[in-house]
Amino acid sequence: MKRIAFILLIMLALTGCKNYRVVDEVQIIQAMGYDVKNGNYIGTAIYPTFKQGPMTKPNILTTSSSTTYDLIPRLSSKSALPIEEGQLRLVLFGEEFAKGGITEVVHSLARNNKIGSRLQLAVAKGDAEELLRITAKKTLSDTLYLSNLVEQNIRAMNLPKMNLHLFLYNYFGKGRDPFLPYFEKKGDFVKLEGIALFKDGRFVGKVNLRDSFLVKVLLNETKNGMYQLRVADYRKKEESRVLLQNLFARSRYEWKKRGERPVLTISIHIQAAVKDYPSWLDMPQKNTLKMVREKMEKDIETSVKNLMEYFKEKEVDPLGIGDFVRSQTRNWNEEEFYREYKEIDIRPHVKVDIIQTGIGE
Amino acid sequence: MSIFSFFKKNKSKEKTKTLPQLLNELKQSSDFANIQFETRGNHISIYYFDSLIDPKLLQQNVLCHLQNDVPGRSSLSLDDLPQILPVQRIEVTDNVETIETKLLKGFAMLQLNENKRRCVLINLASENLGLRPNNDSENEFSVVGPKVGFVENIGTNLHLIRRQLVTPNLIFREMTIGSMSKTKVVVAYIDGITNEQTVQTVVQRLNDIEFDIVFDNSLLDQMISDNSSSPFPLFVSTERIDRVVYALVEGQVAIFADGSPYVITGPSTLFHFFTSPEDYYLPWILGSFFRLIRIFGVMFSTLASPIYVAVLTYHYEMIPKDLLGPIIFSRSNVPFPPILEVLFLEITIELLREAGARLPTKVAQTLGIVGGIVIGQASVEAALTSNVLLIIVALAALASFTTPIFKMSNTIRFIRFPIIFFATFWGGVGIVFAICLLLIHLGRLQSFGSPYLVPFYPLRRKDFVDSLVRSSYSGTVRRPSYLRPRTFWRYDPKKAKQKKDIDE
Amino acid sequence: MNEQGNERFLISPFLVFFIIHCSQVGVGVLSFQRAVMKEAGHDSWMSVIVASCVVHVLIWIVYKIFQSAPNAEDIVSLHAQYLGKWLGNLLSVLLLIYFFLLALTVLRTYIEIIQVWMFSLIGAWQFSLIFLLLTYYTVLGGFRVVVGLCFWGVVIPLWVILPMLFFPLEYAHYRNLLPIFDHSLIDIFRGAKAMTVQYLGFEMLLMYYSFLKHPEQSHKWAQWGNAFTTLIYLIVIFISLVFYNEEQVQHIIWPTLTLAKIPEVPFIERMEYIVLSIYVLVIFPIICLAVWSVSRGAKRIFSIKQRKSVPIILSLLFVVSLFIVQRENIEKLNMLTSKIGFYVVIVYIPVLYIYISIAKRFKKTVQQ
Repeated sequence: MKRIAFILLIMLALTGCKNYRVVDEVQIIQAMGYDVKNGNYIGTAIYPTFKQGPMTKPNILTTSSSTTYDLIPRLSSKSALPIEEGQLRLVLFGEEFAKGGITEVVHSLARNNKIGSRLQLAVAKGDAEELLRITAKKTLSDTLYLSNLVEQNIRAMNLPKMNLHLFLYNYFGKGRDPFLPYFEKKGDFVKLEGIALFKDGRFVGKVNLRDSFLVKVLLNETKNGMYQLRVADYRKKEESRVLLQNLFARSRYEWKKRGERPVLTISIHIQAAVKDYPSWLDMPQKNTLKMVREKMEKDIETSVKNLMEYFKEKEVDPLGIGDFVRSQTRNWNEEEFYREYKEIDIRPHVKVDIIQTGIGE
Repeated sequence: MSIFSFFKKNKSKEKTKTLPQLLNELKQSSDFANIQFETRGNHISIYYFDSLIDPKLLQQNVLCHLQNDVPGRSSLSLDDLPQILPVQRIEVTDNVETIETKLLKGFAMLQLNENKRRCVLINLASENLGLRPNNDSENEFSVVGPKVGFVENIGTNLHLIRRQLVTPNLIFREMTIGSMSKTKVVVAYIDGITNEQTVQTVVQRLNDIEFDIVFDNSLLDQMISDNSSSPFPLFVSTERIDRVVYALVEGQVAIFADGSPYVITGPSTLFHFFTSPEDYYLPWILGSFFRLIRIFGVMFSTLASPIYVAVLTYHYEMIPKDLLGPIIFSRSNVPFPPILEVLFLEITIELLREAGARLPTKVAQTLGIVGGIVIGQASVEAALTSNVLLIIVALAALASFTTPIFKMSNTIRFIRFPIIFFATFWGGVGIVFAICLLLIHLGRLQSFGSPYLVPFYPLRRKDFVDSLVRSSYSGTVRRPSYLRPRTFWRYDPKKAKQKKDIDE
Repeated sequence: MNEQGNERFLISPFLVFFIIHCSQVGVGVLSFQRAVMKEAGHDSWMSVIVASCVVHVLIWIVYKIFQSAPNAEDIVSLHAQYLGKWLGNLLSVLLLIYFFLLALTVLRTYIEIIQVWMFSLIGAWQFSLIFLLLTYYTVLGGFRVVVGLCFWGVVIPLWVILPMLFFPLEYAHYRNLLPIFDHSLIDIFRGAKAMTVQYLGFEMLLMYYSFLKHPEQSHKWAQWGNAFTTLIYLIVIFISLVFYNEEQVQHIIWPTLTLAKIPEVPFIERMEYIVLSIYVLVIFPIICLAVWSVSRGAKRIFSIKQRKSVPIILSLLFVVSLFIVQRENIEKLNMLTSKIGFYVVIVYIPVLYIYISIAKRFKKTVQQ
């Protein structure tokens, strides 16, 4: 016993601690941006400093290189403390960079054990660096601004669930394509503009925020989200909008392949609450409610159809229709399916139930 | 070895001693008194230690009667004296060894006429001289329940137990331990409940003790323990009567030693150290809740600062984003690595506690405030430690004091340190290494031959009723099986479990 | 057991549940999805069940072997009885080497995982030294202490790790399980073959059989232990199937650990560090059990005192683990051990049983 304890003690004394990464002695980067300019890759990192108080003061590091791999190591040459990417919450890709393909970066993130699965990826219109600089400025001054923004929108608004894991899931999985949130610079602020669609790791198209609600519904993961509906008063010839808050939505797919054209029926059932409506609309009245409902159903149906047409045109499948068909058919073949992807006849059926109109009438 | 052989030699010498030799030896001490007088033709001489006997007893019970009641015949023999003297313990003997021990225990020796070989030994010991009469059990305080604690006098202690356990099956087995202190040690158990093998083990171990002076029961505790090189106490030692009585009723053995207000009970398991009598006085839901809180406190107390060290030194990834700011900020001006910071604070707290325990109560209170608030606040402001850590360490210290048995709370504070070192060297893996080591160690421990980790390992499903939680009294009718009691039922389970129907 | 009647060293039958379960679930749980899903895709869970059934039968056979040879205490005396001293002891030694390999593989693989995930700069020797010192302390305590560790190695991870595995269901795609039976039976059996390796470890029963208090009663518990292992594997494979898709899993070396990146509570996230740390408690009993088995075997064959043989075995483990550095070699070691293990349980145990029952019948007829 004593001998064991002795050996242990000696060993403790001998080994020392080589892997020290004391939390305040490393430079924790919380957001990272990737851009490409003139064939050179530019990496931008935001890290917080906590000298004055628990409130962060964001700082920015940029570096450029001819490959994406050594961007983070190169950042170290500009930093007083070793760069640590273990608390990375968001990786932002510039539009140009995204068009060139983000596979390399995402693979290296996926291989890195320090990176969490809940890391957010996003695409920026224009340069990622510019956007990150905006978040670091006085007005926002938050290293986590963008990642919090995405998470908040996923939780409460129109954005479908996304993170590194889901990106990889969609990227590797057969019969589905990944998508990411899409940001745009608006003056001194950053605005979420919708969803960026990817095909084989390349940015190919985007969906606006209004339609991303539909994507969320079609992905069958909705508990919330906002949808505006145009209503017109025939008498007044004035167009107004009804704001619907979606409380619960279910979408069900049905796949039939009869004859030449395969048919995909999508039945969507939305239980929504009316949040705001123009004063001339007499909500409590049955007819009005029915009118709004029918209007909404029709509206969503056409929107879904348009959306699907857009996906077909871009040859992307963010909804995982291929994967759905795989789960319905034996010995499904990816190539075969996408050869006739454009031919699929999409038939949306929407049913809306209005369950609340708020506490005042 | 040499010490023991020394004692053995002494013993063999004593055997050859004669009574006059003994008296000469004792006369060297000035408090060894000798009264000689004649009464109705009988020459009586009485020897005793002035410092040990009660002079009142000597006057009233011995001298008075000897002068008045001794019959006029000169044929008075020693064997008549027990009838004459109204003393409870009196005996006639010629054994020099007995005479010596009894004299040293406060007996008076009475010799009659010229018969120098035989004598009467009369118990005149003043039992309570210099001992406190009562103990409010302040070290193991409970709000509800009796407050009477054991005192230094073993007679009183046995009396207290006997009064609550009114059964002829309560057995006291007396023995003397300590070559110089000749301490009276009593092993108590309930015949018909306690496993005989356990009693045998206890008696055996006590008999095997070779020691000079038994200052306190805790010396015996260490000497009879199954593994003396373990930081964990293997037997509960308590000053509360209810605890000892409960242990006896469960089927444990209790060891009393003269001069010690603490009683050892065993075999104990790890969970006995986290139970408080109050658990049984409160409704069982509350009792269980507080017991769980206590056990959580233990885990928190041992693991909080190691986890702090591990996470801050190696696993910063685990810190949630909202906590990252406060933690980094509070540490940003601290020049030490987390380990030094933790050691600094932990040792400060230990110092405070130690100083508080050594100082008189009133000073200690002030010191606690000064130390706790002033030093803590100052060290944070001087950027020697971080705020977050101060909170963690203070909470951990607080949590360690929730353990009802003092010995265990010492252990808990001790085992934190090796775990901190493990955490410093190997992070989270190190902590689990340390936990492994603890589990193996606990798994190897035994208390009077019965496993220490019961009811977890070996798993005893039925014993869980009174371990992590305290079930209601209808659930605890059965004695724990690890004690292998001779009867399992504490009271009639059918009556206890009987439930009336609604409205009946 | 030579010291017959010394009940102090025997363990209750139900503890076999923990030993069997604990020795089966090891480093394999962290990475088995890849191998199985490569063969059987989203029907992998069937492979898990098929493999489990095979192991149930094998455990039954082991008990049958001991029942049909009541004089034999463990595999060593069984070998000696039925195969003669020389051949028997040779086979026993080979079995011991296999147990040694088992300990080595588990130890080295786990250390590799720690190095990759946590401490890339700390040498492997440090961890193996600590592991082996702890093993020494445990094995010195005897079989009861080893079993105690098995118990904790089941209970604590069960409470800490298992609940974490359910968090990823937030991202579950239950459709991944459809269509059922998309793979041919052959694929499923191939997956089952890959899966059987994950159930290895129960064969150490051959060594500790004589330490069970009522061996016949323990059979039930051994089967339950295996069933519980199956349940754990099923849960893990099920969650992996709905959380990942087949292609994604092929890009992840330790899918179970990556699963643990998902759970988040307000005060801590990135649970893979907790899982990895707690995993010491999963790995450690296996090493102890294997080392105990080897030393026990050495005692039975060569009558070397366990006190002497344990340090030798441990230092051997330490030295050998020093030489296996590259990932390739670790992979090779894994392959080798699982291959040997596979043949030991699938081929050797049934053959032994058949041989013994024939030999017995033969003896009977000779006697008549």
